[in-house]
Amino acid sequence: MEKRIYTNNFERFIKESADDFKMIPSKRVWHSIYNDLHPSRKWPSVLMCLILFTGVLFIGYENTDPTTSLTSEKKTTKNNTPLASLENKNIQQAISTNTTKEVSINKKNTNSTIQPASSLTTSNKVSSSTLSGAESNVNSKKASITSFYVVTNNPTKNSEVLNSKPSVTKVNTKQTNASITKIEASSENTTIDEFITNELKNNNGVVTTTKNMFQSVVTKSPQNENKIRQQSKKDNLNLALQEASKQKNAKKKNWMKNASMEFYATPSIGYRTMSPGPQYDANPFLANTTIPTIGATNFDAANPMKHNAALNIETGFNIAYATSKRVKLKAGLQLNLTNYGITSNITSHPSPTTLATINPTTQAVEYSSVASYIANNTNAIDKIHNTTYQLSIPLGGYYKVLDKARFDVFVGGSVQPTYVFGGKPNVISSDRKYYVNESYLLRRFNMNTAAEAYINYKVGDLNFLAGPQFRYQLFSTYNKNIAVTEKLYNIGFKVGVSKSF
Amino acid sequence: MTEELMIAGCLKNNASAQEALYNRFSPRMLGVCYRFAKNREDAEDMLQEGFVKVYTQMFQYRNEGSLEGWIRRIVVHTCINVLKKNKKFSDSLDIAYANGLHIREDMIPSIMQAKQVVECIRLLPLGYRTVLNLYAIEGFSHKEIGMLLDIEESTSRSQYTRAKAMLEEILIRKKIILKPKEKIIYQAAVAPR
Repeated sequence: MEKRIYTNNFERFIKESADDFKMIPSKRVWHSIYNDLHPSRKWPSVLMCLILFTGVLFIGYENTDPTTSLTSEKKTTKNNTPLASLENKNIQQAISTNTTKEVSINKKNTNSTIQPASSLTTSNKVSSSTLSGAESNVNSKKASITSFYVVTNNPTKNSEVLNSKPSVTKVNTKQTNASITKIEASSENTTIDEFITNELKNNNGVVTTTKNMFQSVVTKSPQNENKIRQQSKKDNLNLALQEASKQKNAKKKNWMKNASMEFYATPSIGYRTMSPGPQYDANPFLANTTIPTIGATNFDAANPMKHNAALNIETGFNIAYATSKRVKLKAGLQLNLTNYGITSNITSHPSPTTLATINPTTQAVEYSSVASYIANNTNAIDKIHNTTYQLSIPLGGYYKVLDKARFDVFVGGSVQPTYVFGGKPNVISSDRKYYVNESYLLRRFNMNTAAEAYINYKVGDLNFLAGPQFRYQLFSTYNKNIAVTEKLYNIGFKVGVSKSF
Repeated sequence: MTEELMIAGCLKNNASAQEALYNRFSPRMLGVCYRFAKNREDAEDMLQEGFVKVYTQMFQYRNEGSLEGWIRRIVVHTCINVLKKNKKFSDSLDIAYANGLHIREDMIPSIMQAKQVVECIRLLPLGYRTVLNLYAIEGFSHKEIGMLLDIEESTSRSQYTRAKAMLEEILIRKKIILKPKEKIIYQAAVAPR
């Protein structure tokens, strides 16, 4: 079909063409709009992400190989040398190798070797630790040799000792018969090569060739023997300390055997109890008129409220510790979404109404003027939700009532100090015609209690648990200035998984 | 679902009513956004922002005039705000942009006429395009355009005159309309084979 226009109708032509133009938006747009309009619906996915993230962390922790840090300790024990505190096993191997193979006494003492006699510690990594002659290739920083013995083939002229703190005690390069001397590092911060080059060069004749590191032939003196004995005592002490450390680790392992970590989620049905605060009874002015209580004798039939139970969820983790065969104590962290439905109408304009509040000084009930967009209408088909988002720390315990091969049955309870970090309180107005939704009406710190029973089913290392749970909020959802008291409770079914450390 | 039900549902934050409203008006509103935006992604972002405003400001709708017109006005204002955040509507930039116009013309897909016209409009420099959109299509006055875009009313007029001339030239070159002083024949809503 042809359509004719003229240039003076250009604008009309453009407008008509543009108005006819349509494009189908992608689904992403609607999903984004929906999430913007209904942010509370994001919570299930956020909770699931949190659980998954925590689970991954837990699995990672469980699968970390603890043997890496124990390698040097094990090797030391195996070789029966006191080089216990080496941080790097390569350093340990290199140094122990070099002390026996590459470090040699001068030509007159060709059968001599240096053996590690005491702990050799490094505070930094050593990139190369070859002790080859006076210009040693040991590149350690802040390394210190606590002691080395130079052992010769002459039983009476025995060794050379490097120690970390005192200085060179005696060096005798001209004696042909090798004996014992003790060379000690001046400070802990001296590097091995610095120590060797400086200390030995300062004593003429100690270094004769680049290949021969120690040319020290020292007379055996009673003082040196005493020092060696002392060193030996220190070594024994070190071994004793290592033994004690092992026992401590064993105890720690026992502790961990009794501990377990538990992840769980509890979908539940949540509702509330509602009552006027005690001030209502004390104030005759309010009697029979403004008490927003369902089922109370002074219930105002003209403005009934229609509330319904709704889906709640709790999720979190516990660390449980078995104090005996039947008793476990637990502590953890838990996220709670509490929720119940209210039948009402959302109005297009704000309406003035009042909230019954309590004067904190006089404790008398007063009326605060507020604006509301939510009308209490039991005939409405729509619902708003009274929700809170809570973070709580469950502290409690379990008692094993049944112990079978494949499963156990536990009963338990907990108290849960709770922080309410968000929500929509929807407090009924004093005339019960409106609901007021302001976050400042929420009580931020609350206390919950929970009682539960569950079956613990064992599958390999894991324990799967499932069972009913009842949770009750001890203080009102609303802050203490609100004259209405609302306490939440829910009945749910807990499912979870636990694993011993 | 009738408009009244959709409005009532949206006022109650009812998701199904909101979705019904979105399904009804989003294609046309995306077309509006597309005329202002640089590309489809930007247009969808504008649409999203616009519809969120529609839902949150629904209580301001007084049943005066059509709902589509009210939504369209919100969407157009959203587009303008987004553009203002990113760009000044100055002449110098637009002229520089217009120099490369002949290259971009080849990119116009030869599909339906409405699409062709919109694509031709989108070839215009941002300032020209925005003024043309607002004046010729959305029905704003030059005074309103001046206030919306923070430019002089006279600037709006001159930009519109240039935009119109440029668009006319493009449409003639693309054989969508005939030359001035002749009867212009164009085929409406006929897809090419």
